[in-house]
Amino acid sequence: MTDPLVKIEHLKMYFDVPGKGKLHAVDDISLDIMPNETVGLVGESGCGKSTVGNVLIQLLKATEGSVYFEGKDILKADKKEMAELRKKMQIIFQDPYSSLNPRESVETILSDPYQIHGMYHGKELKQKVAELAEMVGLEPYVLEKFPHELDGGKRQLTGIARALALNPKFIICDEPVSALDVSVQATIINLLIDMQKKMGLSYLFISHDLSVVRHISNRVAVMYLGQIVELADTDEIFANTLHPYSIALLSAVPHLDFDNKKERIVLKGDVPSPVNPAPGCRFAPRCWMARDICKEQSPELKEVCPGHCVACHFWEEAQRTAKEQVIDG
Amino acid sequence: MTKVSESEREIKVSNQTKIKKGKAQEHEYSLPVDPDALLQIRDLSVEYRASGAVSKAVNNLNLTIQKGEAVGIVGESGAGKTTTALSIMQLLPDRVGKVTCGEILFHGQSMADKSEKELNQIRGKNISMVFANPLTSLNPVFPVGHQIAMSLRSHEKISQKEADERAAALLETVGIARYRLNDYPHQFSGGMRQRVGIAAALASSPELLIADEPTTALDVTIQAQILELMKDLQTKYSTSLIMITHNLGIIAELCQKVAVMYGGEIVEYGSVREVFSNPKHWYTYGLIHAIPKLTGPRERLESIPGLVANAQNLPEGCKFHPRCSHCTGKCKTEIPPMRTINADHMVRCWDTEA
Amino acid sequence: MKLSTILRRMRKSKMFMIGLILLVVMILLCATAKFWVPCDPEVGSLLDRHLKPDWFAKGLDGHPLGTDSLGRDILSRLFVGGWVSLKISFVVTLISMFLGALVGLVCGYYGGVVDMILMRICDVLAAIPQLLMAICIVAVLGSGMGILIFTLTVTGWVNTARLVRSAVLGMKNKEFVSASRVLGANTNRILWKELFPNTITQLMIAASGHFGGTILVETSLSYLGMGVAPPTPSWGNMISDGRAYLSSAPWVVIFPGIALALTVLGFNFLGDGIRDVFDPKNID
Repeated sequence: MTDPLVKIEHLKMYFDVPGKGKLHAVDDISLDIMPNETVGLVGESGCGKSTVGNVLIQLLKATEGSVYFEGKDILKADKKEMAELRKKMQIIFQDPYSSLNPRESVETILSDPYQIHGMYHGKELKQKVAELAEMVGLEPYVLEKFPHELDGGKRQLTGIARALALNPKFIICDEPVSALDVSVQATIINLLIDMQKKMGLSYLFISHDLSVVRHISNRVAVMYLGQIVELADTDEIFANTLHPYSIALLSAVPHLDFDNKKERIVLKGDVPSPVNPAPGCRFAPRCWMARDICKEQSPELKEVCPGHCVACHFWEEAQRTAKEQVIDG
Repeated sequence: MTKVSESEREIKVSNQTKIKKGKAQEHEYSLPVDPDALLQIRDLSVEYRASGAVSKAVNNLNLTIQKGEAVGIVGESGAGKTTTALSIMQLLPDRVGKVTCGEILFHGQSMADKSEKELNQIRGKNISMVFANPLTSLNPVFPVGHQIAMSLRSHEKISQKEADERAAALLETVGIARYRLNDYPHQFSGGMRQRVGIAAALASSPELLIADEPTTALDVTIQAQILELMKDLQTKYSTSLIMITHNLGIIAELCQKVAVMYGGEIVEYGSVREVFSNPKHWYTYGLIHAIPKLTGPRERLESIPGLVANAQNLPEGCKFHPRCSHCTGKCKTEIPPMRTINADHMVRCWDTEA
Repeated sequence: MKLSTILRRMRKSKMFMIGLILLVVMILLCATAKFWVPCDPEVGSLLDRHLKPDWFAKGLDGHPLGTDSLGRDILSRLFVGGWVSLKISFVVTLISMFLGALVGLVCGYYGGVVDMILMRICDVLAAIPQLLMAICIVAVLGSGMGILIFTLTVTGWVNTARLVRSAVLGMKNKEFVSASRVLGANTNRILWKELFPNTITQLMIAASGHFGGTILVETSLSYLGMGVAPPTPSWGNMISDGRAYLSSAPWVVIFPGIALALTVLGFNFLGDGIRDVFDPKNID
């Protein structure tokens, strides 16, 4: 049993909302990411998935909890340790437009990581940058271009190259393909998978797009209002969905499958506010199977089948509902 | 596209036709007028002109919508989908957007011939539109009920009270509680705002609803609500629908026919089932195989090489040829005509073995 | 950006070229003034007072632009005085830009108490009309070149600070700044290498406007007798001198007026042109 590369323990991120209380963006998340693994973090807007990414990469300061990277608690790291850590943990942002400095050419952008850490100078640096660009599939002419002269796909490739520059072990991909056209998405997804194999990377792949997450992840965690409600291997979670929210999420995705027409579960209402959440299961107000106990007691994330965790009091019933859904069309 | 049950002959698109600005009568149309059609777009070409650059957004588009039919227009950014929608509504930006060829017939009458007054009557009442961004398509300083009522009163002579009552009923139809009639847009979430937008669009029971990426900015579960709502409303009011999106799944669920757009042209057209399970154009094929699936084996995604066609610099011949792995010499110089494969399927491609 | 691109854009921008030419000519003439002007700008013969301009009929030996009430050659005074005005404005603008940029960067990036205090100071300074403030300071401290520069700087940096601050506020939460932080960049690097270059265009535009504005204020002060002290010429005190003789010898006022107008116009055009040239988003 290898040790996890990243171990998130009881992570909490609360924001103060003046006049209203505390916003529970991330509420007690625990998750392991193994070396060479892609864990998909899926959920809708407001569920806290991007916040998890930002806290891991230390753009935000966690309210509570620990994050262990290669065994060391990074939230308590000092400046020197942080500098080293920066080389091992990187992030790819969603917006290819604002994640690049508009005044820097691609070559400069890709040189930044090396300059910050004082690695490579002059000719050597130029060479390294050229290699980096080639690795992600950017043609040499792109190096002297500025971000606004490139399309979304090339900008995102630049962002990815930048993240790979320091040879990290772990990359947080925060919705890396959501802002791109379909044909470009495929290029980026393929590249990410190739890079993982080539460099032995681990990814935390944050997205709201279930199909993309399914394609790239080994394991998937579903988030709702700051909590993980289900966690399992990809194939398992899609074939054997246990949490009512996950079931509804899956059934909500419009798909091209003409032969397996499913009766869709449509959730009522909107996502409630994560400010001062009520006790009990966060999903209860919208859950079609909610009982009294759901409103009083918050279910814990428990392993109910090997490798499959779910936070629901009535997961067996939910499982049955999911299976009954398929109607042959 | 006329009803193809009549014949199997190849429809020649007269791409040698000289484009005469504005004078539609002198143009030799490629397809006859369909008298039963609700909306017929014939040989439409639209250009955008700004600071010297000319953008050929739509090129020789032909599309027919029947009553009660739901047609999806799918394509990536820059394909010309929104421009087509705005052209139908005669809402192209003043001076910048120009229809250089073709006409749009609504109930057999050319939209271009109508006065602004007549168009205002049609917009909102006969043809309605739902836009992509629910944040910006509602006026922030008026309560939502007021905006719906305003739309009603501009088309029908009813009292304010009656308009308010109907607005409230409409809100209920889209799943928003009646008492929220006097709330402002910022008090609603994105999904609810979009529903208000749909309510406003359906207020006067239009014959045709154009939805331009209505769920792109929304979460998946909210999107599901909106799609179910649109399905319901379609059955209830038999409104014709043009659904513009880049999401193939939405079209599969909502529409009967689909038109795939690339570089301002329709490159493939037919029933949703036909086109998606048996794509004949390499672009459609590429799109379908570039999307990861929710079911089935996880195969490596096929990306379409190259860049999306730039409307300011369109290639000669087939607009997709620079990116097509099956490109031949002919493709580079001649624009392929729309070829009929069967009653449910037409494609614009020189490759007959696709 | 490559030098060749910058040069190409410069040539393409009409505004930039007009402004540049105007200013280059003016600055050259003024800078070299003491070498080529025919007469001593501070001394004149009363016998020659209010001579009409002879428009180079006698070349530089006569008085091409006439003389003033003390018989001093206007041409000489114009360009020597112009150099005085330009020098003062240059120093003031430089200091103001630097101070303003520094304050703006710090306020925008750090925010919090620092931001609040500095911005309130800005508000106070901005609320007082520049001329009034200048008059008060001069009244207390007396006039003189140093004091003049101090006076003009005291209020000049405020606008720049606000400009830079709002630019930084808009940028600091952009993902490219986060990316830099994640790569391990320290605050210094983020401030000067990521944020500052993105404010340069605005700074240059602000500087050109500031230059022109400063000359006007200095001129006004000199006009009021509180700026450059006679006999040293300055466009302002030349206009002041000539005011009483506007109907009989208008050239005493007109020429410094025209010079002033052309210079400020030149700066304004240059400022507009700079935006065209240096914004990488302009597709050439």
